[in-house]
Amino acid sequence: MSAVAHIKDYKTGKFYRDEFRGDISWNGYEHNVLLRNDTDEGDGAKSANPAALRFHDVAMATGADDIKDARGMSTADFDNDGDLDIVTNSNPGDSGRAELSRATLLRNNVGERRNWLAVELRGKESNRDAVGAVVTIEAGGGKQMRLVTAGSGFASQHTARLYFGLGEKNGADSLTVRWPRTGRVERFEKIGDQPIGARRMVRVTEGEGIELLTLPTRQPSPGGKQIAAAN
Amino acid sequence: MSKKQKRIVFYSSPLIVLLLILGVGKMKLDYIETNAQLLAQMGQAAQKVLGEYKSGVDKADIAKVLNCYDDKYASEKDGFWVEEEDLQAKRDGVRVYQWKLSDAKPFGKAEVGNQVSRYLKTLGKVEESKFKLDSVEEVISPQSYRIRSFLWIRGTRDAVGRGVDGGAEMTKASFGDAGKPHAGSDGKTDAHGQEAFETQVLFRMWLQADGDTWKITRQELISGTTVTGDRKGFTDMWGHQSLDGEAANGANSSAGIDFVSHKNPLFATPEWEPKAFEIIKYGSAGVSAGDYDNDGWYDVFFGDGERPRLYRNKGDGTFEDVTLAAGLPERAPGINVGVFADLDNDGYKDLFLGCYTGRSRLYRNVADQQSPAGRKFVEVTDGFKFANKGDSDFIVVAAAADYDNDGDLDLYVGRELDARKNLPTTLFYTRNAEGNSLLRNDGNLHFTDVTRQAGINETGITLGVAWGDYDNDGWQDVYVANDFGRDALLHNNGNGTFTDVSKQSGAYDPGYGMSATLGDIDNDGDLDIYVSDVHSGQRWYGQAATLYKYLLTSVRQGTIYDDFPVYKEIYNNVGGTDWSSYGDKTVKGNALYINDGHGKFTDVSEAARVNPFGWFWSSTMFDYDNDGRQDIYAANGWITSKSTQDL
Repeated sequence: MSAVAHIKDYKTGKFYRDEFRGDISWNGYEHNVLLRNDTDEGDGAKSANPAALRFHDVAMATGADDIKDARGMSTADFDNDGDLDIVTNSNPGDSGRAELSRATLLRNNVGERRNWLAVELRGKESNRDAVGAVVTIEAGGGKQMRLVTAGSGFASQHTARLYFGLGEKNGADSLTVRWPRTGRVERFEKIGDQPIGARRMVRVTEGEGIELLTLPTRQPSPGGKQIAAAN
Repeated sequence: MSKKQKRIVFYSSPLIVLLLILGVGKMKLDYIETNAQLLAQMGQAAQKVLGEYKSGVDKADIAKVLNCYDDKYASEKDGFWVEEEDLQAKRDGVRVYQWKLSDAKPFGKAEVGNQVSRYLKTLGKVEESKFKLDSVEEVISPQSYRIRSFLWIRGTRDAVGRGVDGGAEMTKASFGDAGKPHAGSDGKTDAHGQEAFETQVLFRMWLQADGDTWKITRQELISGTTVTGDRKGFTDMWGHQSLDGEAANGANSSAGIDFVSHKNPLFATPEWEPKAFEIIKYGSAGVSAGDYDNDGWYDVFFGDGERPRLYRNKGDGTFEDVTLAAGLPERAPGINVGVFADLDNDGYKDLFLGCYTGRSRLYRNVADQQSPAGRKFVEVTDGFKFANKGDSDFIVVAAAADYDNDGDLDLYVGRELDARKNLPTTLFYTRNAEGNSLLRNDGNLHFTDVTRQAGINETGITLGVAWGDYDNDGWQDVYVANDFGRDALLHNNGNGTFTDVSKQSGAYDPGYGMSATLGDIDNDGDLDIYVSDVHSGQRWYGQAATLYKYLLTSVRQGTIYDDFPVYKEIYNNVGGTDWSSYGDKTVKGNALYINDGHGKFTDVSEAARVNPFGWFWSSTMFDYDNDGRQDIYAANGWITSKSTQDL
C-alpha cells in the first residue's frame, strides 16, 4: 500500500478518492458467506472445548452467496415457516449498475425441514421487549441459548422472536428465561399439561407464565392477527 | 521555558519515546527499512507468480501452471492431493470434501505436473477464481522466501464418481493417481452429470529467485475444502411476486420489496462534500426487521443515503412500501440505521432513526385506524438531545438495552468521523471519530445524554454495536466494533459507569471492525462474540516490517507528532513486545471470541475457519438449518466499480 510510504499523501485523503481508484473495484463484487456450524457435538452435548469448533462455507452450495456489496443484513422468519430468512441492503459502489443497488431477500428452504421452537417474551418488570433476556432450552441432552436484542451487526436488527433448532427432536424438555432487570429465572417443563412441543411458538410473560401458540399462517391480505398484542 | 525550548521538547519527545518503544538504534532502523523494502518486493513478486498460476488454472493450461514451478522443485513430504468426503458434513444437498495428502512421499516437478494435470481435468468449467497472497511468512534470504497463499475456484464439474446423494461409502477423488477412477457412482446429478463446486485452499509455498522471475521450489497443503451443492437451500426472491413462489415470475421486486439504495445527495453539496474521507459515500446503510404492527409478521426497515423505506409484511406472502402511510418521511438523507424498540413500554415498537448528515429522529408508535396496519409513527424527536451540539449527529449505528436496570430501554449510538475534515488517524488505529453516546431513557420518550457520567470515551469509527451481559453479573455490557481498529468491550459496572475491558478480557480486536454480534455459538451457556473485519487476501501489506516502516515514515514525514496519541494507545494495549505482529493482526479477518464462562475470551477464528477472505460488513449468528448449532452469515464486499477487477 503506497500509503505506507507516503503518509503525508495519505493525510490529504487522496487514497480515498474515486480518482485514485479509477474504474477499478476495491474488494468489491465478492460473495457473502454462510459458515455452517459442523462442529461434532456428540448428539447435542456441548462442545468440550473451543478448539472443536468447525465451520464450512456453504454459501455457494446453498445459494446464499449473493454477490452484491451488502452493508446491512437482517435475519427474521418473514414467511412464518419456522426458519430464519435473510434480507440485505446493498451499496452499488460506483459500478453504475442499477441491479447492484437492489435489496436482496433470501428465503430459507432448509430449516423448515427440521423441527424448531419459536419463543416470544413479554417483559413486565423488565422492559416490555425483554431486550437482554436470555432463553435457554434443553432438548435431548443438549442445551441452546438465545439472547433478545434490539440492534446489532452493522446498523441492523434481527428478529426479536427467538428461534431454536430442534433437529429431529419432538420438543424441548425445558425452557428457562433469565429476565434482564430482575435477574429472575423462570423455568418451564410443561405448558399446562402439554409438553413444550416442536414446530410451535411459545410466549412467556414475565411472572405470568407460558402460553402455547402457533405462528400466524397465511391469510388473504390483510390478515394474520392471531397473536396481536393484548394490551 | 522559552518558545524555542518548548519547540524542542515538542518535536523531540515523541521521537524519543518512539525509539524507546522500538528499542532500536540506527542500525536497527536501517534493517527495518531494508526489510520493509524486501517484503514489499517479495509480496509483489509472489502476487505475480500467483497471478500466472491462476491464469493457467482458468485456461486449464498445464504448461502455464508448471512454468510457475522451479525445475529443481523438491519436497520430502509432498504427495497427491485427495478429496475426502466429510461424512459429518453431508446433508441438505451439500457435500463437503476435505483436502488431504495421500501418502507423503518425495515429490519432484514431474509429480507436480502429474498432479496439476489430473486436478485440472477434474475441474470442469471454472467460472470464477482467485489466487491471493495471504502473507509472507518468512524472508529466508534476498533470493528466497516463504508465503501463505489462498486459491479459490468455483465452477461446475463432473459429478460422476463422487457419489452425489449416494450411500455411505467414503468417496475419494485423487488428483494424481492417474488411471485410477474415483470410487463409487450413483449418478444422481443433473442431466449432464455436473455439479456446482467451490474450492478454497491454503498453501504454504517457498519461492526462489531465478534471474528476474520467481519460481515455486517447494509447497505444502495447509488446508483445503471443496464444497458442492444443489444451491436450493435459499431462494433469491428477486422477480418473485410472493414469498411462496417456486420460480421467478417477472415481478420487479422481491415479493413486494423493491428497495434500491441511493448515495447521500448531500455529499454532492458544498456544505457536505467529504473532502477528507471521500470514500464514506459508499458506507450506507443498514436494515432492520421488526413487527411494528404486532400482527405476527415481521416488517422491514431499510436505512439509506436518501430514501429510507419501511415495508410492511402483509401476511399474504407479500410486502408493501408503507413509508408514507406509516408516518415516515418520503425523503430523509443520511438515515443509516433504524431500531425498532418499545421505548415507552406500551406494547408497540417505537422507531429510532440514526442520521449521519443531520439530525436523528425518534418516532412513537400510535394507533391509526386509517392505515392498513392500524398503527403509525409520530415524530417525538424533541425529547431527544445529545450533549455534543455539532451541526450534525454523524450517527451510523445504534442498539437498545436497559443498561441501568430501571425497566426501560436506553440507547447506545455509534458515530463515524466528520468526513469533511477528518480521515482515519492512521491505517491501523483511529481515534478521531465524533464520539459515541449513551442515552438514558427517563420515561415518556425523553432521553438524557449520560455518556460522560458513564465514563464512556469511544472515539473510534463505530460500525457495530452489540449489547449483552457477557459475564452474567446482571448488567448489560456493550461491544463496539470500530473501523480502522480497534474494537472495545465495555463492561457495565452496575453503578452507571462502564470500563473498557478489551485487553484483560482477551477480546481485544485490532482489526477493521464493521459489525458485532453476541450469541452462544458453542452451546455452553454463555455469550460469545463474532465481529466482522477485513481479510483482504493481501494480508502481507500489514505485516511487521511494513508497520515499522509506517512508523519510520511517519517520523520522517513529521506525521508522528499528530498521531502520537494513537501510538501511545497501541503501546498501552499491546505493550512493547507485540509490535512485530500488530499489523498482521489488523488484517487477519473476522474474529470469533469464545467465552470461557467467566468473561474471558479466546480467539478461535483461524482454527474454526470463521475468518474467510473478504471485506465483511454485517454478520450474525443464527441456526439457519435448525440443527441446534448456530451458524454465521456475513455480508461481503466493499466497492464495485465499472470494472470488477480488484485494486
